[in-house]
Amino acid sequence: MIWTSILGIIALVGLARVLGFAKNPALDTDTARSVVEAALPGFVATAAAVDPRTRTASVTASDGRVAQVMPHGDRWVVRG
Amino acid sequence: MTGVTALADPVALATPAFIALVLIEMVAVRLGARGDYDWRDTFTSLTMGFGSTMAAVVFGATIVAAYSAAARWHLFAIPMTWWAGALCFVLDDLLYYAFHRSAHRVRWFWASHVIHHSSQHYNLTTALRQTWTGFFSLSFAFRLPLLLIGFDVRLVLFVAGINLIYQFWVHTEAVRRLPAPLEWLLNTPSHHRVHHGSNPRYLDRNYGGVFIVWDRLFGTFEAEDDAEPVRYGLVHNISSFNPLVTATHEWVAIFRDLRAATTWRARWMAIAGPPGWRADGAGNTADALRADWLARTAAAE
Repeated sequence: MIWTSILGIIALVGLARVLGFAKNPALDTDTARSVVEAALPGFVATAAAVDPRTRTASVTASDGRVAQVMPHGDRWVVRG
Repeated sequence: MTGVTALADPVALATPAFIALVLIEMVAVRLGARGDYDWRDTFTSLTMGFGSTMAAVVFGATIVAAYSAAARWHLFAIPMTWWAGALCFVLDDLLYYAFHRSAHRVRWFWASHVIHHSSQHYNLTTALRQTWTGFFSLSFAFRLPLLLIGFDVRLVLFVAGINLIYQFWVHTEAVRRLPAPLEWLLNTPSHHRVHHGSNPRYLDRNYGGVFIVWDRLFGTFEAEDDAEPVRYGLVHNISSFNPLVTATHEWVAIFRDLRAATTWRARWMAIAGPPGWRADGAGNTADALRADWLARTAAAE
């Protein structure tokens, strides 16, 4: 039962990869700003600096707050 | 104990169907159906489901023993009939509503339930992303009233399984809306997408398991607005696909907050307060985020 479950997990995860569900989207300034504004209510982004190599960004708000954007699979995580 | 296990385990019987439906949804999405997958997210969801099953094996006997002990104090001797099954199913779903609402409003319960909400995707594998620590947060205690009323332990376990099975299929973007009467009565994919949203509009809404009428009755219902797509996940999303991190991150945060707390109120709120509460007032609870959203919406109009 345990081994059947583990094999089932491996098979489904492998199928997800084979089917192309393995995106690592690029991060641009517009995306960085919109991701942060959606995640942090009241955050009005005024500037964004993107590091395309690490797919991370630093976004500054009109009130001086700074938020970081990091990749998480094909999605983003915001800290700020 | 033999009598307690006499009814079939509906979840075990349904598991092959779960796997088949995940396969079908995955291929359908590849072919253009609404929805999305990420293999890393799928790995975490399925591993969490596997771990949850293992936890059930480890702690299941203790839970059944607790239920059996509670059943000795029953008020009525309710027979194992079809009407008892139907009544138990409805009451169980009401208690599920109470559990689920508590799981979002009390951090102790949230520490286990947050796992289910930790994916930024919404597909059938999200349904399998279940907690490993539900036993410690005592979530099984919410069903004790059914035993005290007098429903048979076997029946309570059976309807709990049916409730869990029902909730599997609502975790999909592929189904948009059901016919209106069903959308009024039942928890549907649309209603449950709202529940998984981190948008302030959708936070802490639609707790119903099978029936959405509990939310309509208790004022926690929110309809899905096609003009505001649901952002799946947490207010503060986790940045790891590691199942151990996923399973324990909120417990670790509670422990960290308890260590930092300097007053008994702060200690109490770290455990029993709403998720997002902070002693310095800088936290973002769902209520605060929703109130802020309502204020900004009103100001914009």
